Order: sequence, then C-alpha cells, then structure tokens
Amino acid sequence: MRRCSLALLLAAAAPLEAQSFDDVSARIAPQIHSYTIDAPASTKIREFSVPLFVLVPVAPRLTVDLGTAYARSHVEQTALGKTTTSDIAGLTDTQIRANYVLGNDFVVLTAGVNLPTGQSRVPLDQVPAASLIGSDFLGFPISNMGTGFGETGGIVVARPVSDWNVGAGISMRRTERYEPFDAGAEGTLRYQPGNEYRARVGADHAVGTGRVTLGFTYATFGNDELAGSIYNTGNRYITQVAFTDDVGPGKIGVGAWNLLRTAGTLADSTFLGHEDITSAAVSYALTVGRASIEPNVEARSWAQQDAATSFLTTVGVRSQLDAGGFTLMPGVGYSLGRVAAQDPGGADVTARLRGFHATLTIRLR
Amino acid sequence: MRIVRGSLLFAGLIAANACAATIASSADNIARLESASTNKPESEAAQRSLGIAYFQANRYADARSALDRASSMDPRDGVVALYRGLTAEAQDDVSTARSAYESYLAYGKTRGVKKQISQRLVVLARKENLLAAKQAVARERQLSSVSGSPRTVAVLPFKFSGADTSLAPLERGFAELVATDLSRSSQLTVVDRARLQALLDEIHLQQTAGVQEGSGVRAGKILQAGRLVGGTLSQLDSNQLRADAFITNVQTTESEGRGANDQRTLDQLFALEKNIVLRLLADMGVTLTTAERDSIEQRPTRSLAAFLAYSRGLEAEDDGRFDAAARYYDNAVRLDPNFKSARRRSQDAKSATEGADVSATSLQSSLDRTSEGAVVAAATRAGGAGSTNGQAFVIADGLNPSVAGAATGSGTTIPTQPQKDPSSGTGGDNVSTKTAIITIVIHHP
Repeated sequence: MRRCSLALLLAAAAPLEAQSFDDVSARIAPQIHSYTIDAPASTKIREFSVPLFVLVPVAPRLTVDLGTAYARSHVEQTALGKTTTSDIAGLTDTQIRANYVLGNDFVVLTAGVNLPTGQSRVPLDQVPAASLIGSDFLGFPISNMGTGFGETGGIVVARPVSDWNVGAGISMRRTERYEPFDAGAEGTLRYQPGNEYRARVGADHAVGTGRVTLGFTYATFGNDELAGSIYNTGNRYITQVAFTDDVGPGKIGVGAWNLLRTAGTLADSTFLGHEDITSAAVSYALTVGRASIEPNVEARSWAQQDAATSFLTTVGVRSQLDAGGFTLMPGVGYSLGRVAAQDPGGADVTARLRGFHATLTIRLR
Repeated sequence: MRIVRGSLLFAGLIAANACAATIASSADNIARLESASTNKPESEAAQRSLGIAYFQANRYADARSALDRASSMDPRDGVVALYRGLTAEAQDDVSTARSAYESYLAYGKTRGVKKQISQRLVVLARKENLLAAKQAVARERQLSSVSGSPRTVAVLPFKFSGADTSLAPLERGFAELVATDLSRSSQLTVVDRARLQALLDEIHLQQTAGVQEGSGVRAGKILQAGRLVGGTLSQLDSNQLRADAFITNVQTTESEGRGANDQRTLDQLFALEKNIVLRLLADMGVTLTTAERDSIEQRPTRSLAAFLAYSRGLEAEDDGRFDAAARYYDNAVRLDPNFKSARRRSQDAKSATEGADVSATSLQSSLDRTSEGAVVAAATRAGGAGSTNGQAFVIADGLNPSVAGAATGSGTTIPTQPQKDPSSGTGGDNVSTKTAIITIVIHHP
C-alpha cells in the first residue's frame, strides 16, 4: 500500500516540475491559542502554531496542495497544590492532496496522503501536551502532533438541481499502524486505527444578493486496535449551515455547525457516551479604505452524556488588508465560558474557562 | 442500425433538454440578480454580479452598463475591470478594453490572469493601431487640414534594390535604425513605428515604392508629421551598399536640405547609417548635445547577421506573423546575446502570439479556485446555472480535509465546520485523550 502511494506521489510530482509557479498560492498563519481552566480542573493549555498551506494548480483540471505546520503545545496542570508541566513541539504531519476535475466541472476525484513527518510517538511526560490540543470543543487549529502514514481517496459529483447547486461525495481513509506512546522500558503499544468511510452532501442557493450553504457529513469507522484491544469510539455526524449577504455598507456572515458523536467503547471496553458540540457565529465585515474590519462573535456548547454541559463564547475582530502581493489578515479573540469537570468528590460541575487567540494569516495571492 | 439511430436521437434529446435547462436557469439567475440590483442599486457587488451574468449570457450592452456602474462605485475592483475588458472586447471597443485590462493589472489579484492580460494587451495595442489607422484615413481631409510640427518626423521604410534579395528586410531594419537615432535628439518627436506601419498598411503607401522626393506626403499629413524621412538602399555589387535619404516637407511636398547619401561595404552598415542620420539632422537644423551624439554613436549590435535576422523579424511582425517574428528575433539574440532590442521584441512577439490565444474562456479558466474566481462563481451560480465546480470542491474539501488548510483560514471568520479534522478522532489524539485508561493498561497488563 505504501509503495502504491509513493508511486502516486511521484506521478503527481512529475508535472509539478513543468508547472509555472505564477498560479501557486500560499498561506501561512502564525497563531497562538491559550485557555485557562480554573479549579477544579486547574489546567492551562497554550498552543503556538505556524501552519503552512500551498496550493499548486498543476493543470487546468488538476490541483495539488500541501499542508504542514510547526506547533508547540504547553500544558500546566495543578493537583493537590502541585503544578506539573508538559511540552511538545515540532513539525506536524504533512498532508498532500490532489483534486482532479472530470468532464464539465461536475465530477471531482480527490486523493491524498498523510506523511508522518510529525511526532507520532509520545513519551508519557508529553502526553498531556499532545492530547489536550485534540479537544473538539476547544478546537485548537493543530489538533495532533503526528499519526501514521495515511491515504485518502474519494469522488464527488455535483449537479444543478432547480435553483440549487447540489453535490455528494464519498471517501475512504486508511491509516497505517503506528506507536502512539513511548513507554520506555515498559514496552510499546501498537495502534492500528480503523478505516474511515465518509459520505458528504452539500448544497448552495442564492438568496437575493446573498448565498446560503448547507452541508452534512457522515463518518463511520472500522474498529481501532490498541495493543490487542478492539474498540470503536462511535460514528460522527456533522451538520453545517452558512449564509452571507450584503447588509448596509458591509457584508454579514452567519454560520453554524453541529458535531454529533454517537456512543462507543474505549480501549478497555468501557462505555463511552455520546457527545454533541454546537457552534453558531455571526460576523460583519466593513470596508475601511483598502482594509476590511470584521468583528465577530461565536457561541459554542458541548453536551456530553453523564457530564455537565460546557459553554464557550468568543468575541473577536479580524482585519484584512492587501500589502504588495500579500494579503494580511490579523485577528484576535477573547473567550469566556465554563467547561465540564469533576470536583474532588466526583460530582459533575463546571469550571470557569478563559481563552485568548491571536492569528496573523499571510496569503500570497 | 435502428438501435444506433435510437441512441443518437436519445442523446440529441438529452443535449437539447440540457441546453434548454441551462438557458432557463441562466435567465432565472439574471432575473434574480436584476431584482437584487434594483433593490440595492448602491451595492457594487450586486452590479458586478449582474454585469458578469449578462456577459455570460452574451448580453454585452447590458453587461457594459452594469459593470460601468460597478466600476464607478469601486474603481479598484479587479474582477469588474476584467469583465469590463472582456465586454468591451466583445463590443470591439478596443481602447476601453485596453484601459480596463490595464486597470486589472493594477488592481487584479490572480497572477495567471495578469500574465494573460499582459499578453493580450500586446495584441490589443496592434488592434488599436489598426483601428486608429482606419479612423484616421476616414478623417483624412480633416486631419490633413492641420499642419504638423516640423519637429515631428515620420520615418518610412527604405526601398531596397539589388540582386541579393536576402538583404531586402533591411528596408525595415535600416528605417528602424534611422528612426531610433533621430529620436535621440530631444528636439525631435519621431512617430511610433507601429502606428506608422498600421497607417501604411491601411493606405498601402509602401506600394508606391517608399517615399521619393516630393511624394508620399499623404501618410505624413494624416499623421500630422511636419517632415517625412525616406529613401533607398541599393546593393551596388555583392559587398557594396549605397543609401540615399530624403527629407520631405509634408505641407509643401518639397524636399528639404540636400539629402544624405553614403556608400560603404556591407559590414560597415552601421557606420553608413550613422553618417546618414548625422547629415539628416544637419539638414533639419538640429544641433546635438554631446550626450545625444554619443548616444547616436552606440550600435545595437556588432553582428550584421544578427541585424539581418532582426530586420526579418520586423518584416514578419509587420505582416502579423508574430510566431515567425519571435523566431527571427531569437535567432538574432543567439547570434548576439547583447542585442537588447532583439531580446525585447522577441518577448513582445511571443506575448502577441500567446495573447492571440487568450480568450474569455481561458481567462475565466485561470480564475478557477482563486478568490476572484469565487466572486465570479457566486455571480454565475447565483441561480443554480453554470458551473457547480465550487460546490464539488467544497464537498471534496470536506471529504479529504487539510488541517493546515483549515488552520490558515479560508477568507471568513465564520466557522462552517469544526476547525479540527473530525477524522482525527480515530488517530493518536483519540487514544491519548484517554490517558488514564492507557496508563492502567501499561502498568497492569
């Protein structure tokens, strides 16, 4: 399988050499995301990351993109008056994707590989730093430092239906076995993620001068295997809706998404309840001279079976301005909320949560 | 045979239905955009979308109006500039197209489109010259009534005679050298060669054997030049070349000065030309500064072979054979890598060749998957008509998400899906988030 993917990569790389780089676009976005969770969780999580994304239109019908990142995660946890820290830093995995358009824009083939350039094997003292950035609720931009080699392939068909553009696609992802933990002398644990199968439908439709976009994704997984233990953490359903339009002197955007993970089991066969995360956001972009300023607010909730519901509200502002051949998009945000925790007696409570985010996205073209 | 016919008929019906559906939804789309434009006449985006939709429907006059309104609201909108250019070209309004494309070069964002536009502008410049020549000939009487300044000079191709016809392209090359050197003087304005050639093509003046004494003033009058320079190049034997140059007063149609002539061996062509130019300047009463004289003494190349190739390139270019012209110029550069004029003209000729292939389709194709392409797609897909490429790519992106792609943003702060790749739940983080349980497994297998 690995040999096959390398052949695909080489095939994709060959026309790249002949491609003019005039149409290449790139984005780099150094950013910091920090959360402080008060007692009883008493945890601070900070991630600094520099994701890089390069898009190369190899041919009119073929585009290839490459994405990778440098990330540094720092976690501080206080328990019984003692504070421990955990850090992990380095390059993350590198994803290379290719999209090929068949016929008259209506069919797109998508394929990709995940190159394990990141740190997939984590010593136990780095586990908090490597794992807490994986929270679906907090939504760190870089959610893991590395996994195994992976391959994805899929097909999408889109058609106009009445006044709507409607599309649907399916894909499959396979990830090679890897060792997520470095347990030192106590041995290693081999982890074989189950294959993932995804189906996605989407539609968009004009509403006046604006546009509404809908999306639904269903992801089901084969069983994961960790050191001989077979388990499955449940399927995922993602529902999305967005609307943009000109309102007054600016452009308004309204968006919402919901992620529902069904119940499953953990590696030790214990029951894992379902969880449901919902997010809704509004932004309004105003043009001021050659720049735009976009204040925005987002509310998010996280409902877990057998746990208190978590809430998060983020207020932010983002700007966009052109400078030479670059577009600069600085943005900051402040978050406030409460997150599920357990008090020393084991009762379900919530802990106060504060967060800060700052991003500078630089786009070439 | 019956089966084949049936299949063909069926395919024809599908095509007809698809076409009708496309036309119907395009009309719906335009109706919707018209309504939006009426409701929000102050919205530049609404005018832009409407203009693009009109253009796609080949309604150029309507497209022009909507895009002009959008342009007046935001002159820095590159997409509007691009579609104004395309629309103007479709209407044969070359000067507006050129101006709109130049605006796109200033404010547009898509490099691939900018490159094509730069190439297209070379073609448009030639078209504009031809159009201007047609209009000038049509207004000949009016233009001829205005006296040109004696400081404005037009240099016409020299007439070659001789046994070796491979030297005939020197007609244009020699004239180009003379024009370039005359323009070194700040006291003279030399009519642009391309503009002059377009006029000559129009009135076929060159068929009158260049400009002889007292003749050929028609072009000069139209161009409102005060003086014409022309002449002959004669090959006397295999290695001797004689040049005779004349200055004609356009208004009086009489010769000025004594004329200039010189005779040298072929390899002294450049010395011959410099001598002719200096005499012509003296006849025109032009006094050169030291710097101007030094400038005239400069030679574009030391290679006669390279200059001959260059002259052939000029000839091919005047005939509209840009591909051949580029090859001749490249040959000149190969013979003399320091021949700057040849290098520049080679680039222009290649741009003209590639620019001839630039079309609305190729330009719009270059916009695919760019931020400007998204603007166009929003207009063309507003009612479900046209390409669904955008929707397909959105779905493909969700099926095969890029962590870095999402983390570097896609142009809006509105999150329409979890920032994190949901599938990573099956990856390392899903294992490691269950830290406590894993630790138990390690210590108590």
